[in-house]
Amino acid sequence: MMKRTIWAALALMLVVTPGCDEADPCDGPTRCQAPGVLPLATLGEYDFFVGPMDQLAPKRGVVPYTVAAPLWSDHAGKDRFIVLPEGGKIDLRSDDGEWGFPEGTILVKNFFFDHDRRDPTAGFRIIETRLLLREAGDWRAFTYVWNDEQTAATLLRTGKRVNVEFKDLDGASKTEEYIVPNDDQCSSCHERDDVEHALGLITPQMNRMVERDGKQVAQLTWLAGQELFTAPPPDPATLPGFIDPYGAAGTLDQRARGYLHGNCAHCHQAGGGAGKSGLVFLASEQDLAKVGVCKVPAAAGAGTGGNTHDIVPGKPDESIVIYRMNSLDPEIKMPELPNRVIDTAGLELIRSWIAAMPVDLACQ
Amino acid sequence: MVRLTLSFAGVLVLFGLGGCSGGGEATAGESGTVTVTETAVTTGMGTPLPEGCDALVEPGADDPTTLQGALLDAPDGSTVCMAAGTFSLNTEVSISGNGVTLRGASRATTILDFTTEDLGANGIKVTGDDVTITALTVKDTPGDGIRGDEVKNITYDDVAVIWTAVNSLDNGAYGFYPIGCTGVAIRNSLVIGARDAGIYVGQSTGIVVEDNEAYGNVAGIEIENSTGATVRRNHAHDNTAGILIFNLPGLPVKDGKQTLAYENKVENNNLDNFAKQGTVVASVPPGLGFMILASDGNEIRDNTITGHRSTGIVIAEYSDVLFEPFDDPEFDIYAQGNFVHHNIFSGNGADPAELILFIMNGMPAPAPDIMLDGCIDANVDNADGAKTNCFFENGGATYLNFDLCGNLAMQSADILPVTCEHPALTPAT
Repeated sequence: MMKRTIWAALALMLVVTPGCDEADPCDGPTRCQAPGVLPLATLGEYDFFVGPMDQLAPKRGVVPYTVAAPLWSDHAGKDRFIVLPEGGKIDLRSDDGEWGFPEGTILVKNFFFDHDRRDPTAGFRIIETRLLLREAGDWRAFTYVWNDEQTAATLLRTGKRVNVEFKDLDGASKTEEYIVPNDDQCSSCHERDDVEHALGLITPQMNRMVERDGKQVAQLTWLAGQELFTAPPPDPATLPGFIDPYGAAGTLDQRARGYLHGNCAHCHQAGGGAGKSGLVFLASEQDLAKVGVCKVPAAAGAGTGGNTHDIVPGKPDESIVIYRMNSLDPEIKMPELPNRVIDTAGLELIRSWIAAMPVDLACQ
Repeated sequence: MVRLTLSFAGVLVLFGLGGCSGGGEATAGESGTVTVTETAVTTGMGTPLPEGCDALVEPGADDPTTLQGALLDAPDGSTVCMAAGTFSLNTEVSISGNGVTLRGASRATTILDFTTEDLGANGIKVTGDDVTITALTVKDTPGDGIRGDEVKNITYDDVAVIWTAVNSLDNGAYGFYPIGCTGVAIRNSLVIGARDAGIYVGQSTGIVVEDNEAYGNVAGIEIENSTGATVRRNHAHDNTAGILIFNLPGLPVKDGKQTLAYENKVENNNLDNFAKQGTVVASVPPGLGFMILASDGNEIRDNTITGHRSTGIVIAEYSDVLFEPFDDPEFDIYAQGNFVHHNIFSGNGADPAELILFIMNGMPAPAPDIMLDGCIDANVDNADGAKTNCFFENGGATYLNFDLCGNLAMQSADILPVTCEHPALTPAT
């Protein structure tokens, strides 16, 4: 799916077709805003895509990107795009802080499920498309729910439970309940200190290798080539980058910390939804006591599972973090809201990470 | 013409553009409207709204959507009313607007029933400032009742949070659950059945907890890592422990102190502890009126503290005899400078729980009304006596310094060395 989108995007960017400028005055690396007061009632009105909308083929100025350590989201596939307003550019950062986006930026994220996980070319069902709109120094979050015919997506603010049917990797037919968030549920992850944040647009997530035109290229370099940044970025090799949690590169600790950042740190940092727990999952947090090693829980309630510390080095099955990641009970589960299916691969990763911790740090 | 290499898909897209169709609208016939199904929200266009209400929500076929929709639509400062009746809610309800009031018809008749909830760790989550919740009951949440998440000025007035199962591990942990807030008022309210603390205030300031009733909980009322709370005229009875004033390690707000607890009726808190193992509250023995843990400068006065099988009040440091080891170098484990005076103690200590018997170290029942750990922070100068835990004018209350830090070796029932006073704390207005 993603590959086809990239080719379409590249094709649009490379073609020079005389006489088109007057038809699309915004043919460039940025977009003019679609007419109307945001949020628009339907996704189609934003004019992001060419061809049948369910092909998700982006127009020029709808720039695809991927992140190194994505959120689990019940194994939903995701297409992510940056849409800058006319003439707008991004301030890249060298640390792990959020990139600076101009007013009028729109970030787009489509969530879809392959009909058959064994064969991504067999088609997919798009469930929702989430937008972050940059306005008045803040982001506003909205989602558009797709109809069954896959011809249109309509703004919905009160959330929805969607039953998704698919064939799993073992060929078994499955039905899962997927949660489309309401406005406040968006904030439960995106809000910190009364301001909304884009979560994936940070250098450690964006600084990775991607395939463009059949070749591996640094995503930051490629985005710079699309004229998206206010200034040329530093050499990507000098910038932080999360290691793919499930790849062969890097250390177990790097992979685990990247996973925890991508899946947990939006709440588990100061000012976030779990800021007062004192448990911090930012990859940049150096104090292991704050990352949960031998940390007594504040208010885990049933989430303790009878265990006494968040992370017991060497003993994942005595660690509250593992117990909570492995639960779907609403009072116990972590993350608290978004997923309905346990991330078994992520759980294994964190279990291995805890098991490998030296026992002489142990909480007796 | 620029020579380029296109994939098959790319070529298809080019042909699909059909020359200069420009920003072609790919799909036709889209006419979207915001959909709120099963609308049961009136905003004054039909029948008149009850007085003071800007919107009225009635129970219907899809309560989560109608109630949440009304709250999302509520302008800042407006009042969303709920009619009498039972609302079936399978999803956490959130209030993010500022100055919003959620008001039921009355506490007895507007019931938010969360028995079927499977999404969200709370019944209601408040993230807006200056929110008031009043005149309704929150019932049987799987998780916590009503959470306030680092907000300013949250008010719970005439609200009940109840779990109908008795002493059940399936009950949620906290009924009233404001955390990291500035300005908390919990008043005229009721909580029954919480598996941790019925009324809990954590890491907050500007706190008033008054005129509430808490029973059937593990802890009736708990003030944790918070400063300057006023806890008054509450009735905490038939919990495992009545009122806890705790500091715990490993939290961003560390040094809670100066809770003023007065004119509370704290009686018969003898419920078996049904908390989840691994939580701090699970270590609290049944039969306690008050407990102060690792917190300084609190004032406990003019309370009636009666009928507790273990003891009326325990003051203790955060000891690894009782609790788990931790890694927090900034945490002050000692409980110092507390002032307990003019309370009525009666009928406490008749049948002490195991832990209390243990620290009595062979002394026969009844256990004393007042139990002090006797631990002194050697790194702190107490020449002026400000750090001494003082007891004054508590009638004939019996007392024991149980010498926790000396392995219970040098226990003393002589209250004279700790008969002293500290300056009074100022109650909230």
